[in-house]
Amino acid sequence: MAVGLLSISWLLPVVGALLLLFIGNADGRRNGLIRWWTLIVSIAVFGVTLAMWASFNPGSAEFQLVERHPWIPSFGIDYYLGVDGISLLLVVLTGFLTPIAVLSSWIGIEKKVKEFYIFLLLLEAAMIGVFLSLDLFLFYVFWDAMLVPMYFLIGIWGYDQRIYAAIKFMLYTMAGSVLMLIAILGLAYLHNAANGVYSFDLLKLYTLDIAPRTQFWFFLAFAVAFAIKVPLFPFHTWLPDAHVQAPTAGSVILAGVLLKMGTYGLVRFAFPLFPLAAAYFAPWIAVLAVIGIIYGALVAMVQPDMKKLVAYSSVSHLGFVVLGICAMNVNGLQGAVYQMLAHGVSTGGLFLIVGMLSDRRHTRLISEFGGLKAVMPRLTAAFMIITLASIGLPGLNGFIGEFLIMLGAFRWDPRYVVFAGVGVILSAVYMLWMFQRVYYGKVTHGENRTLPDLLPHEWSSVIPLCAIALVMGVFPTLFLEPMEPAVTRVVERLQNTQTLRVERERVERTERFERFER
Amino acid sequence: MTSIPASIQAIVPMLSVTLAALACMTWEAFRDKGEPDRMPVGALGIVGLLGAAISAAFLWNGNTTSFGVISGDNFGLFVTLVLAAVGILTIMFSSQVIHRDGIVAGEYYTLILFAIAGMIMMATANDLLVIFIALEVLSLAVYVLTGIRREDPQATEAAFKYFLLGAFSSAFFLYGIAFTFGLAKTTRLDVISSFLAAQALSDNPLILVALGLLLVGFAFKISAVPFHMWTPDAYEGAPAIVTGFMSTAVKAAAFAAFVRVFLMAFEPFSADWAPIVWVIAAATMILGTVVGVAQTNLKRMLAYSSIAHGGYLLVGLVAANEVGKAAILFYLATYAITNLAAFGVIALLGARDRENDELQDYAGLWYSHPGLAALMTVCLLSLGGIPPTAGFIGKWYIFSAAVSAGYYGLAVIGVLTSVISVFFYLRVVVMMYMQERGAEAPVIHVNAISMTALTVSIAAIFYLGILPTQVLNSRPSTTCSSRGASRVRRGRPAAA
Amino acid sequence: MFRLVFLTFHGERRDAPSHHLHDAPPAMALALVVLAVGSVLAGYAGVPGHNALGSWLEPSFTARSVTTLADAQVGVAGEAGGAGEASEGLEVTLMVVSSIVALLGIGLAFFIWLKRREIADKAAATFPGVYRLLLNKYYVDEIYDATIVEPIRIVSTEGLWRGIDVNVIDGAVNGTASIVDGSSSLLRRLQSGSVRAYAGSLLIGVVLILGYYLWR
Repeated sequence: MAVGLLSISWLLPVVGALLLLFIGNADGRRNGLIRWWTLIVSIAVFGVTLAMWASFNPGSAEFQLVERHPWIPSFGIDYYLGVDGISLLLVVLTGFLTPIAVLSSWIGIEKKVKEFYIFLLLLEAAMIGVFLSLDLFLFYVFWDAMLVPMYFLIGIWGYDQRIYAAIKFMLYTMAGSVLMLIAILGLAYLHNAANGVYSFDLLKLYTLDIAPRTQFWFFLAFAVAFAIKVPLFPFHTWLPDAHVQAPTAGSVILAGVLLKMGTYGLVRFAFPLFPLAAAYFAPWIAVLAVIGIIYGALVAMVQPDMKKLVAYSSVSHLGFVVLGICAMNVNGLQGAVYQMLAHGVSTGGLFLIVGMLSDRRHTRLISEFGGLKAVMPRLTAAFMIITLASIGLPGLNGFIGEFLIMLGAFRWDPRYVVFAGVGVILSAVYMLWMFQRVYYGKVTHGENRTLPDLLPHEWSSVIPLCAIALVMGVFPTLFLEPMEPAVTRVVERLQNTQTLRVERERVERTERFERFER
Repeated sequence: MTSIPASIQAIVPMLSVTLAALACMTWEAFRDKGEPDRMPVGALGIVGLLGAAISAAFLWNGNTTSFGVISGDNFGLFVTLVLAAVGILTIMFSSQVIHRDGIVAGEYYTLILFAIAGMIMMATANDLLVIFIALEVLSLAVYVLTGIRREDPQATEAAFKYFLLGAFSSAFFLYGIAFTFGLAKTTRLDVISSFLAAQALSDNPLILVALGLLLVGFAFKISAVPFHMWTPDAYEGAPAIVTGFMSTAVKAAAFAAFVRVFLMAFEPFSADWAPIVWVIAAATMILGTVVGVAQTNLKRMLAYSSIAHGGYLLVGLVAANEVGKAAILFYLATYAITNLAAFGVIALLGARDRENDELQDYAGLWYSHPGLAALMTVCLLSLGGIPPTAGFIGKWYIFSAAVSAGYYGLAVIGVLTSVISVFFYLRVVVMMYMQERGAEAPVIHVNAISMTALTVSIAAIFYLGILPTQVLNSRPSTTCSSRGASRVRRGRPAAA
Repeated sequence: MFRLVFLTFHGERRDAPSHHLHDAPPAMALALVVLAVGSVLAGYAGVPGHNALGSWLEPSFTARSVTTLADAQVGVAGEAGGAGEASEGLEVTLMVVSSIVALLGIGLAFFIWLKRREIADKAAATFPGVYRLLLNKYYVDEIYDATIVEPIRIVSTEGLWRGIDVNVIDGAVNGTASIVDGSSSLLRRLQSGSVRAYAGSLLIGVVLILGYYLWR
């Protein structure tokens, strides 16, 4: 049984974590070794994801590097992995952000270092697994398994409200996903009813002809699970708690990758599996997305806590992504995927730097800072770049995605764009306002005068982030090209089924009419 | 097995355990007063249970029948294997615990073994009266085990309650048998099945009364709502390891008989009992999890959790198809191992004067005993049904049975209650990992045998959670007359 | 703008001579030169007919694949380009007009601030209200502050965040938890510990089941 690149990409962190188990570290003497080991493993995983990209044929819309082995044959469950342009980039993003998360906890985590990194690596494995799975059962296994390490990361190494946040995160997301499990089982059962065998194979389930009423309920089950993860207004309240209470690495991963699993799920599962229901629900979801954009921005604006501000800004930014998905055209979807990547980089970066500040001062309140520009100019510059990227300044990563989404949404229904545009303005307001209050003006708190500027390990995490933000802003084709065939395929599938449906209904109507005439 | 006459092959597993029990009893009878050695008695039990397991493996796919009332079909043999595993693990955990608690080893192991013999009998019985006898054999042993700490008033009270209510419900069960016998003139399940198939169109209320009374008897044993009231008290009063044994083995045996009676004998009337079982299943899942939330004693909490798990198993019964039957068996296996291991940890953490089973006692366990805390966590996650543990596959199987039979509502109740249950399992995890312990934690030394048992359980949890194919493909749900039952079912649509 | 230029760099020095004014240090000067050159050049970047920037990001936005879709056959850049050619004449006119207006403004500023300072002072003295209004930029900032910024801030803080988010939405989430918790403590009271109550519950179960069968 040959182990392919995709299996390696998620098995490598698991093996790395298991090996960590055997390093005795009762007195914390080997913390350094553990940190370096984890860093090396996570960079190796990043290398594997890049190798994936290198061997990926960007011209094809098919799933590539496919690995398939029977797992539970009596139920048609396979160990079935594959990437297309959409998942490829998200896997690369995961591989990219994990070393940064490792670096972000280089000195911040002092308690139970070994276990921390074990959970971090297991989390990475589960996240990659989620993006690679083409079997719904396998997908669900990764999806749920991912909650556990995150729960521990928040609950053990988080801030003072960590237990509440951890339990809320776990239960809230589980409550959504168990309903999806029922829908998955229902799909397998429908496949059995139609073809005589159970199957959880996504590509086979795509071809199922599902009655509109069933689609309605199944779509709802899937969409709620993903909407909670995104999080779409009004399912977002777990997010500020989880983000704020998580340790920096947790926040980076949470904002950078976990939230994308929700939008990825919408693109990969909810919409293409149930195109009719998707068409029915899309305007409503888009309304929620637009509410989320403005609401998230307004609430972010008045947060006294930097982490909470960034957390609510995620609600706003992810609203854009969902809006792009709901547009169901190539521009919108491409923008959505691009924005997922961009948001991963820029919000991951924001949490990273906010984490640096909070590590130094043990507070995250904006009012505790001010005038940091004079004290730590390099950190300020890095923060400025990331802030501008997050706002969507042309030339940086945020702009491309937002622009494409607006374009897609405009072609669908311009009314959404009007409101979404307000969100763009507001995002500049809350980000720049925070920036101004934290970095400009006079140093108001004495403790802030002696804060050190970027440390070596911080440099090594900040530079790649800023660089990639710039690259994504200047050479968007690099990323748009591989995702394009896959995105087009999703759109074609959505539109074909819908036009087919309309066509069929028209025929049925005329037939009925003719019968009536006779 | 070829040397054994075919007519008694099916009772070999039961025989093996019974012989071990008798040997233990004899050992105890001839033991000197001051003789301290305990494990050899347990070793004897393990030998007997291994014998049962090995003979069950030999009989696999054999479909033997002894005396017409004990059937060695895969269904019964699978439960036998689960029971043997539970018995072996229980004895291994007990090696440390009963010594500490001052329980007389010979008595204790004898009772455990007799209980298991009764359970195996119950799981393989093909006759209502044999089921009743088996039920009494195992119940008597378990009543005594509940109150085995004689000096503890709580244990005595628990045993007494359990006994009174158990006797009460046995009476209903016996009534049910009597009614059935009165109608069908037999207590053999296969004969009842064909009798009822012929009666399917008649709306004889006596059949329904018999059905209802049998249902009550089983519902009591599996502690389904509203027949569950004894459970929390009995589970809390009994020593932790006995609770673990009761909550897994008794449930497994009772469910095996439940499935046999309702999916074989009363299968033609499934349209009549399914709605009731639906309601009971829903109520059991909801009450078990919701009340579990408010518990502060770990044993009591797991008692409610085991009530809830009974509810999930009932979902498989409601589905009333092959998937459901297989799902029940798989779930029983995963649940038995997981729950027993969890109670094993609780038992190991106890002390003679103090059980240490309050939630607060687990604060900071990770810092003092990281290994035990990690093992406990795996058990709890598996009970909560989180992948990649056995509990997840079990739940998935049960719910796919419900969905395949069209019971979406029940499946939704099931998954939502399992989210609630995750809350209280996580509370323990929170205690262990995220709270500091106020007082100095007592240092617990776990002996090698118990540690082996724990490790094996955890390995099994992951094995069943990641590679369940082996077990799923062994066709465990085949029963002797399942073909007959399905033929009957096909003849029925006119009635529906 | 040009008032700023003239007052800062031309005319007599008005600050205390003790202040040592120096020219920009080299790094700053370099940046300024780049910016100055850039801004001059940027003015020509969009001259009609030589639009070099207009198509810079084109590849990313024209989504080549959209040709497969009926609704998206016309790329954005294509549209923009087509419209641009049609209105080239208008664009040139506008450029000329705005240049003339700008030059007039420069001239006026030169006249008032360098040649005839007293006109400005006199004007300020004659119309104090207007002067104050202008000095405070028509109070635009204050008006914005009072009518838009503050209301939004207050509504966001008290209404959206503390009101809706914390109380309503999160309240619903936590409320669900409290409901479960409450019913839990309520239901656990049923577990009274009395054997008679337990037997009673058992009996109720029997009655319900048999009752269902006999009287349905």
